[in-house]
Amino acid sequence: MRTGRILLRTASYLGLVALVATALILLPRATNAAETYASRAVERRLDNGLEMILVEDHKAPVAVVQIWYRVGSRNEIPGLTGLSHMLEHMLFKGTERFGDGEYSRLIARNGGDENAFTSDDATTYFAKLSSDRIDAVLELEADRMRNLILTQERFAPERDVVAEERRLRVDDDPVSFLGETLVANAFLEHPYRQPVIGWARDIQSWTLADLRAHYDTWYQPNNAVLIAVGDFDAAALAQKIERVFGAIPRGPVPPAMKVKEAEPRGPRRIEVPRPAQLPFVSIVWQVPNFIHADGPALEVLATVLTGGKSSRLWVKLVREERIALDVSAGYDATAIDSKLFTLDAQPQPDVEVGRVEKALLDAVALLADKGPTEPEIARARAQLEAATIFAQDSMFYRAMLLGTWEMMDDWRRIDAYLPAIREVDAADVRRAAATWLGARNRTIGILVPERTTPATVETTGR
Amino acid sequence: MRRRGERASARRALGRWVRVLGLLLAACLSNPTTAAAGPRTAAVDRRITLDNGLRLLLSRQRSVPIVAIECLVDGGARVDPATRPGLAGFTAALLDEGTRQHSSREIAQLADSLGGSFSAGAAEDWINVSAFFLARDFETALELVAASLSTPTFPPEEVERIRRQILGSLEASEDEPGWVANRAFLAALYGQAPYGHPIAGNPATVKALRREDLVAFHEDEMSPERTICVIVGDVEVQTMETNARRLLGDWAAPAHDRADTRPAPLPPSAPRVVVVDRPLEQANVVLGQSGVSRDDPDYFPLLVMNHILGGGGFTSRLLDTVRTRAGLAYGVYSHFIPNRLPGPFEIVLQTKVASTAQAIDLVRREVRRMHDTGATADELAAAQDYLTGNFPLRLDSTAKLADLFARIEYFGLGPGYITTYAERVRAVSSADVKRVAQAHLRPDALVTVVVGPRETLAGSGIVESAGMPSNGAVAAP
Repeated sequence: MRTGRILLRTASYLGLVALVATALILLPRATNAAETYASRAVERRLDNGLEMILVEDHKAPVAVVQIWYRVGSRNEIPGLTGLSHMLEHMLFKGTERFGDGEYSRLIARNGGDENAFTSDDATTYFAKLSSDRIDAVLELEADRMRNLILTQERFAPERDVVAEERRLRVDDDPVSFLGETLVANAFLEHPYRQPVIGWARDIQSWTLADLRAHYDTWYQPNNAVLIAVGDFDAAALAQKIERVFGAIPRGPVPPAMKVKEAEPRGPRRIEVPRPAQLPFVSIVWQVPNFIHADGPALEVLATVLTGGKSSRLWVKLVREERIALDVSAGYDATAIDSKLFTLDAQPQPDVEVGRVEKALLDAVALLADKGPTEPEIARARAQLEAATIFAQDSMFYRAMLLGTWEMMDDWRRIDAYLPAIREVDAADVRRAAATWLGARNRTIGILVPERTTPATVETTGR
Repeated sequence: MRRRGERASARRALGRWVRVLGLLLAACLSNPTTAAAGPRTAAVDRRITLDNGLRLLLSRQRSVPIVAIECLVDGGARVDPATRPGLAGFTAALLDEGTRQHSSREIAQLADSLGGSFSAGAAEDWINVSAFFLARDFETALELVAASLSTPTFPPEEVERIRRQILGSLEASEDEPGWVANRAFLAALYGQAPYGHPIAGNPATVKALRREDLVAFHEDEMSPERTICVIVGDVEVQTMETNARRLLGDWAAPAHDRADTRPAPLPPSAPRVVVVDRPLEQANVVLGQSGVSRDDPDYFPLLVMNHILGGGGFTSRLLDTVRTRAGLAYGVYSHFIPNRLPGPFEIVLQTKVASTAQAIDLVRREVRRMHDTGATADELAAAQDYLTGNFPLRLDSTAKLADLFARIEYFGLGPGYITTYAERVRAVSSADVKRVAQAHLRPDALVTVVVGPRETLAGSGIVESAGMPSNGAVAAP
């Protein structure tokens, strides 16, 4: 669902959003027991609290360096939504030592690619470059962790940029707009109801002081995790990191996010009118993350439902009944707090949206009643296993995984992912569907197109 | 986290323009100055032409136990008859929907049961069949690919299902302003010429196409002589070759003569403004003109020039001016799309409706400035450092290598391309940048497409600022 839950700093990287999101469900599998993450990663914590997780990968002379701050829209309060993402943009605006835009220029000069993204749970900065240029990134990241210069001059135009980003991603994208409204209705209290990019009015009302306070609260070595994957010597890199980051003083302990969502009291159903050609249906259920005993079964369930063209919902809605253009399931396996299981479908133009909504609910009810077949379980397992191997093809994915799991709980859990998936059987999936995909914790969102007059093209000469 | 990428793809599966990546992609083609630090085994191990004319490129990569197969058949939407836009795309969409070996359902089940991905599709210049599987399933993957290329059966039931999918996707694409803008831009630029229509065609022609048309397109346009297959991954090269000969060697479709599809060069586009009326918060703007083909001798100077102008992300002039300084857009970039035939040069941005005229004005000034004065020595050096130093990053995965090798072969860039790339980037001088800017940028002849609320746009002076000469002649409303 296009709710803008992960935001990147520039549109030229839009493709990456898909990669990033996919990466979160593709878990590298060590090809043998000796190659688990736990055995290969070097993990250290400096005296100032900075944590590092370093994994050598020598398939190409390249390295990915990411720094994860434990702050996202989950840590924001009403009236100041979107502040984490705004601050992410400002981190490229310069320090005393490196001027406005200098970060990007230096990384580019070194042949590297860089960017940053913000989600509900974290803010991440990354650079990918030739592995003999890692030092440049370390210096820049250490510098901007505490030395950012925030001025009104630099803030004002960047706020406008973020306002444009919101128009692009949410306001002019009807499915994304539906998603934002739907999620805000799915949670009553938990800040997951807030959009990462922020509500439109909040974007207009942040002050420089708000940004400053946010920066001082969250950008501290004891609230950051540095992750590197690539062609380097991990022990030597760890020493280098200590040298570069070690002098930064430990900051105050950031405040805990204390909100707990109340027991679900659904079902809820909302209709969102919006200028659009076609309707859309999205159904979400509040579910626990992967650490919960039913987590692995929910992961398999998502794959049984829409993983590939032999999956249950794809066959039924797209191939056989031909009532949907596409259908997809998603499970927030690595969210810090209980989040959502999502079913989305794009109805065919001549099909009543209610018919698609009913088909989705019926399919879920059937699974909760009878469970999946053995071949369905086998295919889902094969897909999840293969996906973990494909994911090893990309250093960026591997770093993403480490960071995502570490934000949730502990990166070492990555090694337990596949064993847990392999243990899931049909009864587990049936039980997970019956327990979690019921009416009580369900919210349905329907995009209702407000058709406008037929579009016309006007050509004007000189 | 939510699987946002899957969601985002739902509406775009079939209807969207499949863009050739153009100069941005070409930037990945190599970098010899860093050869010492370059990919250790980023080479084609064996290049074979089978008796039927099919070209085969094989590369063993041991780092991850996977294999990528990428086949390109020259043609694609470029060779769609003017009366039947969408024919190549429709045909390609059926290639993985039934072969003499397997039904559509069997293909889907086979791929899913192995956890692999298998797909076919069309781009402007080619039809591609692609497979990404675990290395242990290499033979199955190649069987799927080979059967799709040589013996697709176009089952009537699947033809009708896919037709419905394409029509639905075309309608869904109307909710994507960027897609609408691009369609209008290419139509304004190329009209009936190649690259002028969406790969998926349009509803009227897709409805009218018959199964026989697809069968005929496959027979007439898809032949081994026009096909390149690249196999990259953790499989013995000899095993790759043996199986490729066995599975692809018997494909014996005659290559029908194809009239030279290279049309007469388009006349320089007349400056015009096209407004597509949509109730949006942002104007989606495309400015551009016809550009160059991939074999243009100015390719490298253009690559560097465009990097400085609008291809270089946060370090480009356009982004610095329109986004960083003025705060008018989130994304703004320029690119040439150097296809087999001259593809477009485009500048793309989105901005709130009220600032449309201002943003377009800034873009036109930057194009004018580059055209008139070229780039500084510093800008040139920075662009060269990035383009050469970035190369190893683009070759660090099995999937990227397969794509790269296929394109090098397709565009005939030659085996030495990889080793001479950085030299050629470094060889570009300030004078070259200025020369190609003057030769290829036409700041007074840009076609401008704006998708947004027409009435508001009309009141904002968009037509005047974008379409008029500076001497202030009155434009038609």
